[in-house]
Formats: sequence, structure tokens, C-alpha cells
Amino acid sequence: MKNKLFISIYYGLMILLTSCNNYLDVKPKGKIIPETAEDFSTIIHYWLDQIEKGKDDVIIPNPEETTTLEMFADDLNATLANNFSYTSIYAGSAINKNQTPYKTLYSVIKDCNMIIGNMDDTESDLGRTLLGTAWSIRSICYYNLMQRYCEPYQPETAQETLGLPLVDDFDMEAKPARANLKETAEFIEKGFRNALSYNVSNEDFIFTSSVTKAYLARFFFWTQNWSNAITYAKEVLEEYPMLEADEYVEAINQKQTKTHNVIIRSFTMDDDIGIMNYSTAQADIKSRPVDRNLVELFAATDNDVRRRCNFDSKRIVNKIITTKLRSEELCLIIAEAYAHLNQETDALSYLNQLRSKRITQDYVAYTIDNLPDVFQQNIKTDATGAPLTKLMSAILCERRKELFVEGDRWFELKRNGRPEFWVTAKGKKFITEKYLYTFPIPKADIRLFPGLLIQNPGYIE
Amino acid sequence: MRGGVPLVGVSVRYKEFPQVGVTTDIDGKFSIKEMKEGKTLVFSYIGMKNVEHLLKGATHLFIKIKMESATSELDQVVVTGYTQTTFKKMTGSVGIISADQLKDQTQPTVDALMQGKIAGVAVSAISGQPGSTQKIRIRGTNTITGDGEPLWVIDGVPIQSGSTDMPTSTEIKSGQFDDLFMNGVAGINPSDIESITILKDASAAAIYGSRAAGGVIVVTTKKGKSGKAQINYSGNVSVTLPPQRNYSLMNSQEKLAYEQGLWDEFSAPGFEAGTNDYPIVGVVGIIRAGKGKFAGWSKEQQDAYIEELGKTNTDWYDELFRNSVSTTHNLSINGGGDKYTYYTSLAYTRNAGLLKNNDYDRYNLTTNLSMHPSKKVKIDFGASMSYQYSKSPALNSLDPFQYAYFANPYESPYNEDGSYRADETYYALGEYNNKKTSSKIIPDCGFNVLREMYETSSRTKNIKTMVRAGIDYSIINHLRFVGLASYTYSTNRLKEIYGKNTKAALDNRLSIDNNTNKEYASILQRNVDNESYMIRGHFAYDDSFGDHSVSLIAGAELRGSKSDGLYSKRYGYDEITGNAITPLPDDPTGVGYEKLKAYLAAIDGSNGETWSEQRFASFYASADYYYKNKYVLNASFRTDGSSNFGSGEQFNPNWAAGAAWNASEEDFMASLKPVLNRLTLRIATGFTGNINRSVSPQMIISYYDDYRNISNNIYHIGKVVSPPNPNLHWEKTQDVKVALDFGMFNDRLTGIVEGYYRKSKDVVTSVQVLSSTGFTQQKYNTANIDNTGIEATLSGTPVKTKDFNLSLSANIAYNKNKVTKYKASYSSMGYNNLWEGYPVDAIYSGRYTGIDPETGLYTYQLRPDAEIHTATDLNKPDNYRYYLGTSEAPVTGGFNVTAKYKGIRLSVNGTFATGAKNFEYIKSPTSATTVSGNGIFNYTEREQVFQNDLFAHHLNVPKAAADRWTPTNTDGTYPRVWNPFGEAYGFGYYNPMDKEITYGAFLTNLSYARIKSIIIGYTLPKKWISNLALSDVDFSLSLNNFFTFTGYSGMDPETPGATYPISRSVMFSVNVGF
Repeated sequence: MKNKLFISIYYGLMILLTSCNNYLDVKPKGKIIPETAEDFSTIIHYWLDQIEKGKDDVIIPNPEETTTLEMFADDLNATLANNFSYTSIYAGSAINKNQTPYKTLYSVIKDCNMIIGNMDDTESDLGRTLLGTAWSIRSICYYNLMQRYCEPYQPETAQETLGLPLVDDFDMEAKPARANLKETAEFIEKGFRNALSYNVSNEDFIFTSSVTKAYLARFFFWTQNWSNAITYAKEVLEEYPMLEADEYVEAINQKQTKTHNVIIRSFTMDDDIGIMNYSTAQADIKSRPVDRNLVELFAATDNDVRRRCNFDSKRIVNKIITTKLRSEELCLIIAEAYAHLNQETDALSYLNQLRSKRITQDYVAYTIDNLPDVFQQNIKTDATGAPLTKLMSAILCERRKELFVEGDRWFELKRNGRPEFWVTAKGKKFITEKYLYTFPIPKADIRLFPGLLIQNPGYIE
Repeated sequence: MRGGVPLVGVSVRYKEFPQVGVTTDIDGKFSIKEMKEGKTLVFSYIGMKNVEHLLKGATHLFIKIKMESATSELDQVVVTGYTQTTFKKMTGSVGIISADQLKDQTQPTVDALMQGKIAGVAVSAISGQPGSTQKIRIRGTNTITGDGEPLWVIDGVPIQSGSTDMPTSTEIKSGQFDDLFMNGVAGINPSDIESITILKDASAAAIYGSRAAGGVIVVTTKKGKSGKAQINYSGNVSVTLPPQRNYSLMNSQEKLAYEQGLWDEFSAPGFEAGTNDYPIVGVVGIIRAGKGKFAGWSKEQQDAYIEELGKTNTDWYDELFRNSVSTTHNLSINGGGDKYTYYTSLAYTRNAGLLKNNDYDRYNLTTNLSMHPSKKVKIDFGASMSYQYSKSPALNSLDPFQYAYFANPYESPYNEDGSYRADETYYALGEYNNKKTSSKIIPDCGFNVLREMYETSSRTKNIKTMVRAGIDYSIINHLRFVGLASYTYSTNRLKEIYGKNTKAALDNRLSIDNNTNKEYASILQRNVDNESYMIRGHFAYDDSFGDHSVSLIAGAELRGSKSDGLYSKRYGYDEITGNAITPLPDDPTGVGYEKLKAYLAAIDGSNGETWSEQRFASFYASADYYYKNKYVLNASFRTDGSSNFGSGEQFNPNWAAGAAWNASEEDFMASLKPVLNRLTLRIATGFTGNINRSVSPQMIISYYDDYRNISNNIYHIGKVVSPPNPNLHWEKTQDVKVALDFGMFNDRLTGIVEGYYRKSKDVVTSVQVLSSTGFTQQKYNTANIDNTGIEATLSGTPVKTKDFNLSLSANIAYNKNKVTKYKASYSSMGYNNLWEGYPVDAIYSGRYTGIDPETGLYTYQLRPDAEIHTATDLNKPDNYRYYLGTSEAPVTGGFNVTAKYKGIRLSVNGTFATGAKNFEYIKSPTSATTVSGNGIFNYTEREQVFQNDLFAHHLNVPKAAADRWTPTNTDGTYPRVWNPFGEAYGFGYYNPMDKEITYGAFLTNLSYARIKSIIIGYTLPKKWISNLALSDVDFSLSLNNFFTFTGYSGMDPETPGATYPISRSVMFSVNVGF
């Protein structure tokens, strides 16, 4: 009797001990330790959802971010603003705010790295699509970081210019310092090439091969790798034909449609916050009239459809603010890249392609002989530092008109010589100095490990 | 046997041959060899006086021995939940509250009863609301991000706190669900408690494992006593008085005159100049500016209306609060026979809150049954059921205490016809200044606080059933098996109704209706079922060899808890039929696909389910060794495995070891016996490994409640809530203590002095990390915290005669908490930052030095090491920051004086806490931020403290504000008031304006001593009642919280701020035994 009891207790305990691990394996609600590609896909879908709903601030930002960039640039005139409420008078009033995208972009990069580094499934369709998407988004984020937090790219000095901390793999303990700008560019290029190797075609994942190629064109253009910029831009331009004049007039007031020239855009679905961001963007952009210099530029071409649909008689913007990457930009990239390569005929050909679709009456194609004089504006030199030629000026002006209030002008100023300009407001003069074109690295990061990260020039504590 | 109950395990041996001995069995029987005439048997048992029995005559006969209890405190039984032992055999630190000490006490919940009773156990109220729980800290705080609450154990069953999963939908506001009854101790009837044992150090609590890091509170409920059935009734009625209002706020005339002064100074010039950016503050501002219904009024009409308003003088405290009457009834029956005892009780408690329309009811049924069907088996069975019901208004974000403080006295609750009168000022500031939000903030009929109170309701019902069965089986002589199983099921039902015309209803509309003008009622329901179980078994081995005796236990435990819930919010609720008519989108013709999708998403978010489950498996062992009652050695070990998600280290170790030396048992102390009758020295150490549940070393993705819906492909969206972080591990606490326990003059004077040192290592804190990791904060094992303390308890009975008995007792504890290792990632101390060398709850802020007669600003002492080179160095917070104290009281304690004369008794209980400081500022719900922005109201001069802000004077203010600093009243006692959008003074350049520093002006010392209760009781003499077939009749009257000694000027130093205070009450109780 006693023995039986002992034996049964003994066996009871044994079973108990061995089943302990199973017993303790409880799955909480709505939480997983990711294993499959589907598990990992949830973190990418989060960002895709943010982009679609106009809630993303950094990858394909919502319209409000575009307005913010326009407030720093010179197409709108802050001196004539009717009020400033929450907008920044000039880039210098947003020194604190401009540190935020750095954190958010690295947070996206972290999510991409989690997929790239931790997902075991690299073979299935979903796994491959996910990896392609993650590589693409990661490089886009680094590209956005480079545009904002590094000085403009000059191939000759890139090795001596500060780049970004390059995080390839998630490691809580890692303390990466800033690489140089050349290494940064190589790192970004490698990422885009990896993305292309997965040949993503599933439209649900937004960042298809075409999107990656379009961004590669932007990236090569920024890093002055002209021939590569042309190659990729051409490839995507064929896929996404530019809008004709009548289509352009119609498209300019569309809030959420993705017209055939749009490669990628944000805010394609309704959402509370998205609508709020959208309405703020539309309201804020109307608080500053268009600068006289730009009005004069438009005045020079009377038959241009863009002249009428961009702003009204009081110089108040009436173009709907959205964030997108469209094929017209690629066309302009090709034109400018050819110009830098001194292939003037090709440059003119692409410049005229776009012009012919915007000038409705009495269109005359530019030739090397009939190009207008260099237009006087803040930009005085081109991306390489050379004084503007007639051709270069025409291309830059075309770009300024085409991409008006699309968040492009600020980076155009930055890319082409970082000119200083000033506005007055509240009885004070605000000068956009050269250093302000490069946003500051978050103060908290600089302070955390003294000496590890070097702050951009001009920002002192 | 004792009191007719057979004693198990009594040692029986020959006086002449101590090596020959046996112990009694489960029926208290024994048989011993070589029973010979003339020999003496010695019977000894813990807690009993030894009995010697001389054997005479025939030896085969039964002998019946009756043992008596020993009186010494050392022999008091200590229930640890796993074993039962005595003080003499303990090496750990324990505190015991017996049923006697709980008698006559008025607190309706168990936790509140413990305040001031045990040294080192700091109990503080978080709120005075009925049914709310208390904050308990045993020997200081030793975690930062984990849970510092102690573990509750009821009759051996640990209460598993229901970590209920809360809905995270956008349609449900956070904090909306009342977790009133989620805490397990609230349902226990204090009258059923036999004793409460508090295990304070690792040595005592290590057997409970890592959950014991915050200490263990073991509650034992009453069991039956053999003999004839005893019936007992006790009941009480208490009246709680409303809080003594001593905020000294302005009355109507004063406030109106004050508002006029502000108007003249800040608004009149702009108004007269015809601009549109002058501030409109208070009803005077609204009237003078001709806004709302006052448009076009003449000066005379305005003056007449203001004069009329001055006649109304509403005391909002009187409108919202009441004298509440609470009552408790208890009926119990207990008794038993040879092989069983029983105890059953029925109880009803009604606790009415101070706030009108706030009640709490509780019904309890408790049954305990003990049986010993055979001589080897003892079975315990317990069942308890409780039903709790709470009713209160569903006020959501509106705090009635804040409203009562700030509502303008010239507002009144009712119109002349008895209908609710709208409050014209409380939510009106934004409306008349800059109206920056177009969304509706008050209902069409206006806001009235009483409508909110009566037309909204929150009802919570909780039914909890617990069954417990224990077995104690003697396998062979010294080996027993002890098993315990329990199952608890509880259901919690919440129903919140927001009536159509209330602001609560407006705030609870569908999220997509937020920008519309629609008004409709809604209802929120939530049902949560919780179940938990525990099963454990261990083998116990007790044996003795001559002077040596050992007892060992080893066993395993499994426990788990599960919670399932449903919630649903319905819109357009109709209280008569219980149906809901969900309101349609505003423009039914233009509803597009996207709008429809948003609508359905909002409806989907209004319903949902929640669940959570936790499981634990543990193994434990303990060993005790005693030598001649003089030396005790004890060791215990436990390892807990948990279902803690994402943790590789599922099992963690905990151990403790201790030694005790009963010095008074030594021969050389014998001469001191008449004076020092006992003296025990205890030394113990222990180690606890605590798994911090807020962190995980593995990568975890948490799903959002939302989905990505792209051309009808539905995708989950998720977020990495926990990145892979392999360096995370347990928090460890090492604990050392020394205690001296003594009794003098035959225990007329007793005392315990204990010193302890607890070092908590690798405490998890939030650490700033590089943004390039993708995070800004991460949790790491970074800090070490030391708690050093000393506790003393002294009790004495100076007078003890037949008729008169006076006893005194007092306890005091001092705990010093210090962060000993922490590498701060910030360069200066924030006011709630962790900083090496300072306590966890340190306060860093500015030292207030008075009002500057030049500027009317608060001034603060510059640090001696401040370097001032330029004027702007004068605004740097680092130049002003001082360590000013801690918010956790380092010294706490309590005292009791009891005097008995014949049947009359008087008992005074007190509690005190000193050294705690905190910021006391009651900030107005209105401020400049309510109205800033939109291009009109742009800041020109930010406030230093909230009093500077003109817009903070829209609602009621203390009388002191009338003496505000102005250029003509430069010795004013209230700081300068200015319009933050008006003239720029440039104060910020050379004055500390940082909130971290300026809060220093509000630092208050929260030290207090309080007479918690004064109880006068009378027990009727037996001879009067014996004819009535009564065994006991007793009356008492108690006065609670009547005297508080404190330098604090607010309502209550224990619950500072404008919150639910603890208030005075008077209670009358009666106790009848049949």
C-alpha cells in the first residue's frame, strides 16, 4: 500500500517535471514571437498601412511634411505670410523639429533589419517579396536620411564628408559612429541592388522593382552618378508615361488617385489622422503667397498650363498638396544628367518631351540656339558648383515649375550650391544660412556618448 | 489534547531514559514500550507547557493527558502558508496581527486594517473611495519598473492578481474600465480573519519564491472550535462626515471683483481699442466683452447681472458630497465534534461613499470545515463566496473633486424651476477666446455637474467563489504528505451608461462623429470571467534524535490563471428598451466607400474580446534543525517557472538561510530569568531572483487591433514591442538581517529590534539608447538599490490587576532607500529621475525663496556652485537644482493604548509617517494652452508657475489670489498674473522658468501623525445576560480619523491634492454571542 503510493507519487512527479515546459507554454493575446514570413510581414504591413493612410512622416511622407519642406524653401514668401501659427518661419525655427525624422527613420530601418536579419524563411514567395520590400524601404530611409542629415554629395570630397551611422543588423548594444558619405552612398546602393535581386512584383507590397528603380535614379542623381541615373530613370519612365496637358490639369486637384504617371505616393486611403494631416497641409500652404521670383518665371511662358493651375491671382497656392514620385521628375533627372555629361542634344530632347506636354499653344522646342538667358534666382551654381549654363538654368527652371510645392525645392536649393536667402517676420530678419540646409543629428544622441557622434557644422550647444 | 482537541506530534519520552520516545499520532494517541511503574513520562509540545506524568499501577491502561498552553510569546504560532511553526523556531522576520487587534476596527477592507500595526509595513491610502485598494510597501521599494506590491495568501492559497488584458480599441478610452474588484483582497470579509502574518524578509518569504520580493501577507480565516455550536452576531453603523473644506476659496463677490480687476488690467484696453486679441477671463470677462447671450447689453444691464450673480454663493462641496451612512452585519456559527469542526459566516456590508450616488455593497458567505475521518488523515475544506456591487456616476475624465474646487461659486446647480442650470464658465474659456477647435466640447443644453452625476451610471458586479481542499496524510511514522488544491472563479460585470444630454455621452460618441454636432446616449458593457487554480503537494518529515530534531519539506506546485472578457459599446442607447439605434453618418446621400469603411471600422472597434492566461510551476524545499530549543537553523529553496512570454530563463532560483539563538535558554542566563525571561537573536540571509514582467529578452511582435485592408486582402499589422535583447536577466535581491527579540518581567514588557540591509541588483530601468538602434529608450538591468532599515516594536503591560489592565504598544520603522549604482544617461537630474546616491523617489527641484518685489516672480536659491557669466545663466535649471527629499516616507509607525476596567475598554490607535514630501499644486483645468495658437494667441511671455497664467484664473481661485503682486502692490503674497499673449517682459532671460525648478515652490512636507481611532467599548457582565441565554454582549463606539497632527495645509496629508480624501467617521458596533 505504502509502496504503491510512493510509486504513484514518484511517477506523478516525473510526468509533472517532463510536461513542465509544455505546461508553461502559453500564448498571450495578440502577441507572437515571429517565426514565419507571415509573422514578420506584419511589421512591414504596418508601415505600408501608414503610407496608404497618410500617417507616415518619413518614408513616403504625408502631405503635411511636404508643406513643412516648402516652408523652408524660397518658392513661398514668408515675409508676406498672413500668420505663422504652427509653421516654421524658416529652417532655423525648426532646429528641434528637424531632429525627429532621424529617430523615426532609424525606427523604420530597425524594422527592416529585423526582417533581413531574423527571418529564416528566405525561399518562399512571401519571404522573398518581404526581403525585397525590406531592402528597398531600408535604402529609401537611408537615402532620406542622407538628403537631410548629410551635406550635399560631391564625388571629390565624399570620402572626407560626414555620412551616417550605418546599421546593417539589429543590435541593441551597437554604437556605430558616422561613416563617411562615400561609404554611406555605397551602403545605400548595395541595399537597392539587394532589393532588385528579389524582383518584387506584388503591388500589395507597394515597393515593387519599379519603385526601387525610380529611387535608384533619384539616389544616383543626388550622388552625381549621372549615367546610372539615366539608365534607371529611362527604364521606369517607359513604364510610367508622363501626363499630357489635359490629364495634368485634371490630376492636379485629385486628392487620392494614383494617376498613370505616379510611381509611388502616400495617402491613397481615407483615415482620420490622414485627413487631418492632409487638411493641415492644404491650409498651411495657403498661409504664404508665392514668391515674386517664381511668379516672374511663370510669366515668361504664357501658354503653360501650370501657370493657371498652380496659384490664383492673389498668388495663393491652389495646387493640391500630396507626396509622390512621378515620372516627370525622372524625365527631368535624365535631362539634367545628360546636361552634366555634356550630351546637350539628349538633354534638350528630354527637356522638350516634358515641355511639349505642358505648353498648349504655340509650342516651340528649345534648341541650343533659342534657349532663354539664365534666369536670375537664388540658385547661382549647378550641383557640381559650376555657374549655370543656359541649358542648366532651363532644366532647373522647368523642374521648379513642374515640381512646385511637391517638397522638391528645398532639396534643389541644397543640391545646387546651398544659397543663403532671408525673410522678415515679426520685425526680425531670418537668414537661411548655409549650415541650415543640413539638419542637426538629435541632441540627445550626441550627448549620450560624448565623442561618438559628430554633430553637423553650425549646430553648437 | 488541548481544549478537547487531540494533539498530533506531541513528544512523549521517559524522564529517566530520554532516548526512548515516541510522538502522538493524528488522533493524539500514542503507545510506548516498557511502561513501568515508577517511571515518569514527559510530554512536550511546541506552544504547550511540558507535562510530567508518573506511571502508577497497570501499565496497559490508557492514560489521558491534558496539556496547557504556554503563555510565552515565543510560542505563538506562526502560519507561513506552507508550514506552521512558532516564533521560537523562526529565523525570519514576521509580524502578526491577531483577531483581537482587528476587533472594533472600522475599515471595511483588509488592507486598510493593517495600517500602523506592524513595524516596517507601510500602508497608505491612494484614495478615500470605498472599495479602493491601498498601497503597501514592506521594507521599502526594491524595484523600479516591476511590481513592488506584496503577495497575498489566503489560507495557503496565493491570490493570483488578474493581469486582465485591457481593450486597446480607439473607441474605448483608457482607464474607462473600473478595476475596482479586480484586486483579490477586496472581497474578503475582515470579520472572518483569525490572523494576519506578514513575512518581511527573504528568510521568511523565500518559500514563496520570486513573487515574494515585495513581502508576503498570509491571512488565516477563522476555523471552528470543538464543542457546542456558538452563534455570534456583530453589526455596526458608521457615519462618514464630508471632508473639512479648508482650501479657503473665493466666494462669489470676491471672485467677481477679482475678475473685474483682471478685466480692467488686461482686457479693457484691448477691448476699448476694438482689437480682437484681448483675453476674456471669467464670467465678468464674458459679460463685459458682450459675448454669447450678453451681446449688445448696456453697461447697466451688465452691472445688474453681475450684482445678481454675486447673490448666488454655491458651495460645490455641499452639492457633490454628503454625510454617508455605512453599515455591516455579520452572523457566524461555529462548533464541532470529535472528528470535525465547522465555521460558517454570513456578512453584509454597505459602504456609502462621500460622493453622492456612490455606493458599495458586499455579501459574503464563508465556510470552513475540518475533518479527521481516520487517525492518519486530516482534511480541511473551505468555500467562500462573495458578491460585490458598486454604483457610481460614470464621469470619465471629469473629477468631481477637481470640479468642486474650481467651479465658480457664482454658478448654481439648478434653475428656479428645478431644472439643471448650465455652467456658463467651466468649459467656456476656449469658446470665447480664439475658439480654435470646432469640435463640440459641451452638449447643446450646456454642462451641469449634477446632470453628469445622475444621468450617467457605472455599475460593477463581482461574484467570486473560492473552494479549497487540503489533506494531511501520515504515510509512516515521521513522514506525511500535505496537499492543497484550490479553484477560484469570479465574474466581473460592468455597465456604464452615458445619458443623452451629458458631456460624458458627448465624449463617448463614435470616434468618427467627433467633429459632428450629433448627440446620443451610449452604453458600455464589459464582462470578464477569471478563473484560477492552484495545486500543490509536499512531503514533510519530522523527527528528533535526543536533543536534535529536524523537519524537512519538499514539494511542487502548479498554478494558473485565466481571464476571458467581452466588451461592447453601443451607440444611440435607449434605456427604456435596452436597444440601441446606431446613428447614421451625417450626410446619408454622400456616403462613399471610404466613409463606409471608416464607419464599419469604428463599429468593429466598439466590440471585442480580451483574454489572458498565465501558468506557473514551482518546486520548493525547506529544512529546519533545532538543538535543545536553543539553536535553530533553517534553509529554504524555491524555483519558479513561469509562462512569462519571450523569456528563455523560465526558472529562477530563490533561497534563504537563517539561524536563531534562544540565548535565554542557556544555563548562564538562568540567573537573569526573573528580569529577562527570554532573549533570542536571529540572523538570516536570502536571495530572490525576480523576473521583471515588463521586459523580455526575445523579439516580440504585438498586433494592432487594426488591419491593413488593400483591395480586400486583409493583412495583420504589428509592431516590434520587444526587440531581441539577450542581455536581460533577473533582478536579484540579497537580504541580510539581524533581530533581537526579548521579553522582560515574565513578558510584561516585550520588544523586537531588527536591522536589515537589502541590496537589489540589476534592477531593470529604462535607459536612453542611440536613435540608430531604432529606439530611444530600452529597458536594461542597470541599477542597484539599497534599502537599509531599522524597526522596533515595544509592547508593555504596566498595569495588570484583576479589574484594571493597561497595555501600550508602539512600533517605528526607518527605511533608507538609496540608488547605489546607476549610470544616468542625462546630464542633469530631472525631477523624477533616478540618480546615483539618492533614493528612488527623490525629489529634485528649486529651493523657493519668496516673491521678488521687483517683478512679482517666484525666486529660487542659486546653487553655491552655480557659474554665472551672462544674464541668461540665471535661467539655467542646473544652477538652481537641489535634492529636496523623498516622496516615500522614510519613518513610519503606529501606536496603541488599551485600557480595560472591568467590562469597559478604551483603545486608542494611531499611525504616523514622517519625512515624505511632495509637490502640492492644484492646477486649474484652464490655462493659456486651452486657447493658444491659430495665429491670434501666440505666446509672448510664458508663465513661470501656473498662477502667473491669466487664463488659470478663469475658474475659482484661493482667497490668497486677491493679494496678487501688481506694480502697485509689490509686497503681494500671490505671484504676478499676466497675459501670456500680451506684453513681453523678457522674464525668461534671467529667471528660472523651467517647471522642474519652479515646482519647488509647491513642495510640501506630508508628515503627519493621526489618531486613527478612539474606541470605547463595554462588555455586559456575564451575570446580566446569562438569563437571556446569551454568552456575550458587547458595545463599542469608535471615532475615526478625528485628530490629525500635520503641518500640511490641504485636505488630508495621506491623500494630498484635490482627490477623494480620507475623512472622519463615527461608528457604533454591537456584538452578541449566543
